Amino acid sequence: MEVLAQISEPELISDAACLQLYKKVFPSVAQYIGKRGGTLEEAKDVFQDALLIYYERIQSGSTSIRDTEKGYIFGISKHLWIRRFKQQVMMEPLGDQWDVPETKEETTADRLIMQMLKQTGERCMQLLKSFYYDRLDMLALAKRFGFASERSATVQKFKCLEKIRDFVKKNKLQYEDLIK
Amino acid sequence: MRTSLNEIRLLEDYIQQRLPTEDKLLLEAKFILDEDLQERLSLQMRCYQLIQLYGREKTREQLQRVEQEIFSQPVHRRFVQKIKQYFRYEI
Repeated sequence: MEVLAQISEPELISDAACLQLYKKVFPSVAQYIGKRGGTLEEAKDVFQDALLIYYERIQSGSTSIRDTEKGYIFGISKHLWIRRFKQQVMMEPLGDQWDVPETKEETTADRLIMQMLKQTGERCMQLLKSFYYDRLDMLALAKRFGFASERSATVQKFKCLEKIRDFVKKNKLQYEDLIK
Repeated sequence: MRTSLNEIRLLEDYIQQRLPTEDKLLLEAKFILDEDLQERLSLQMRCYQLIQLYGREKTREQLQRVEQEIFSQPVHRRFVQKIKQYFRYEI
């Protein structure tokens, strides 16, 4: 049975579901990487990246991949492993069938502003994450954050966006100076 | 909603390409005339990027927590032993 497909709401994946995915798919990934001379730590890294990509794909509505959960995660892991070692790509081309996105590296500026945001606007960040990253609908968002209606949740979402935007503007000069 | 929030909604619709062509062209004309509006658009796009990074960071924290649990709790010992067999030549 597909683990994430069982989640009715597009909420955060639960720790239990996450654990099931480890149990279900990690052995194949570990075996694949172990056979090719990789270490356990490398296998763990690759698998985490693969799960992250898979999770974001599910959240963005790519429902078709839910049907082949294990195969898909294994495929991403294999692709990521090969990408790590480009020499191996020459020997064993995988093609673009997995279409694994390049994850953007977090910059120093990103880390600094994120740190400041966590200190001053964590609740707003949680709410915005639920909508824009976890893609909860307004009803689920209202329920999770205790708003009386979808409309209140919508207004609060835009208020939070305004708060974060103003915060970024106010602190832009400060963190840009810090990273120079 | 107050005016500033309506503007945020409008900019969001623009960024997500949900505006009808006429409204889109009108807004683009405003960007040329109003530098502050243009700056607010850039800042809003930056916010979406930060929210994405924040979400990714939280998901990664959760994945690390689960992994930590698997490799440290006795209840998962047999599973871990099986995994370690694949790396038996590791020094």
